Amino acid sequence: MADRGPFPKYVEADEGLHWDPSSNSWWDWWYFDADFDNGYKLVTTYHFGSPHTPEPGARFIEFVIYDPEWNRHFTRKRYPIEECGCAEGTCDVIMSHNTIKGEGIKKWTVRFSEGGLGCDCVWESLVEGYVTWEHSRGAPRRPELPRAPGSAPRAAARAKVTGTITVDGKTMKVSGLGYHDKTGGSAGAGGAAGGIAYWIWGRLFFERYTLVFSSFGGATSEGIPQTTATVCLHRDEKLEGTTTDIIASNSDFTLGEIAVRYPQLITYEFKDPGFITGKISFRLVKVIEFMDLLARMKPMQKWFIKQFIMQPAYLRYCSQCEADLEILGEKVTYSGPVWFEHMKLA
Amino acid sequence: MTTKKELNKQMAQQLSTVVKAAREHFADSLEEYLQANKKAKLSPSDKANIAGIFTESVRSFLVAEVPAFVSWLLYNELNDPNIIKKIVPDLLDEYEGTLERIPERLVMKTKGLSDIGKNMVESMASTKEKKSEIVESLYRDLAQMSKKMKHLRASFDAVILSLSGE
Repeated sequence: MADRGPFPKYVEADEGLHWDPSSNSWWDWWYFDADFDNGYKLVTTYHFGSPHTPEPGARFIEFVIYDPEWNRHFTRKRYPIEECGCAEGTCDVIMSHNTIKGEGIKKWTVRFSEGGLGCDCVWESLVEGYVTWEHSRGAPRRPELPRAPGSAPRAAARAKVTGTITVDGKTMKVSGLGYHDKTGGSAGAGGAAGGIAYWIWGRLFFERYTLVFSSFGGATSEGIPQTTATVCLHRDEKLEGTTTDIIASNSDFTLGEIAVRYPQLITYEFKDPGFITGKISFRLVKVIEFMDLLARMKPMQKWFIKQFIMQPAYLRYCSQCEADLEILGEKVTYSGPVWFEHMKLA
Repeated sequence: MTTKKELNKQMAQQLSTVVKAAREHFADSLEEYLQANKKAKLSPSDKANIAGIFTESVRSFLVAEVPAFVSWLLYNELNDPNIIKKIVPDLLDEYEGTLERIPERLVMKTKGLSDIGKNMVESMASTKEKKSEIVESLYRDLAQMSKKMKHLRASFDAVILSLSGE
């Protein structure tokens, strides 16, 4: 049954640096993405520490632009720790000449420029922000629960994004819709996630409705026994609530060309009458991102991962989405492309 | 008064006792499950073999790993490197000494760890790269195992190094 709140408000300090000097595995990241009207997509993450390797001193940015044909323009760059900083009470991130500057709880400016790639864009939230009570499950935190250090503010589940992007040295004006959150933790992704084998995460923008969905599997990614799926739902600006009355399944697995097993069909059946019912399916069109996380590990971490975790990878899919839903009593259908991520920890 | 060496021996025996009890619980539980679900009935030799498989799995993938996680916690809390450099590895050596045979999977798992240790020791010497005292000590420990592999201790060292970000 849906949890309709009330939920504690997202506040500016939620996006400041959460610093855990006692942890060898502390990490924070600020994530932004956008689908632009001209067919380009942008995804960038500013990292303090790393969830994949215990390296609290790591400072790096991953930045990718996909062109309308899904060609990938990607860079990952590390920055010296002395060139990086972040405020604790607000979103104010500096990594050399690259910055994220938050203004209140509704607006962020992201500036990035490296090797012919870049952006100077503003994300303006169109919906209420919220804070997850446990970032690995994705549901809004209840007010009676403590705000965990690693809690993840979903500052902008849906945002208007405007500005310029630069691809291969060519700068163009853009506008579109996007998303922004922050995530952090004090243990590696596997540990922080409580032994989960994978998560799938994405957001859907229907006319009045914004859905942030996620599903998590435990134990093994082979055949993926589903454990939890969550959707957070906004109507217009308002956060309406969240439900886990969802049957999620992944099927039609393939090894593809990357020697990592992944599903070609992902479905969510919503079983929460009065809140959300119906089905969404994602049929894989293309793997648009593959990060071999094992390759980033140091020798002993590789040994450990190979012995106990197997094949960690980060994947991003372009899929054909078919949605036939009833949301808050209103019929909602969609047929078209959607992209989302799959973090494969085992 | 019990000496440290005697205590270590007693703890290794206790560990053997616990693993033995766990294997029996596991075999009994599996047999009950198969009977309750009308699956195949286990013969006494099947049951003994399954118990043996369980023991080998525990020895290969748990006996060194669980103490490594606990030791890492204790080390971070108490800041006593002896936990990692001596106390727990000595217990694992003692326990390994009680094994009638080293499981093949454990041998496979630790294969190559000594070479990584040797390479790192050489690399640290040539590049003068400074690592923490505990990390250097663990790499040296692994490197020394090129003469005689101590499988549980090597697993323990490797897990701690992994947790250290190596």
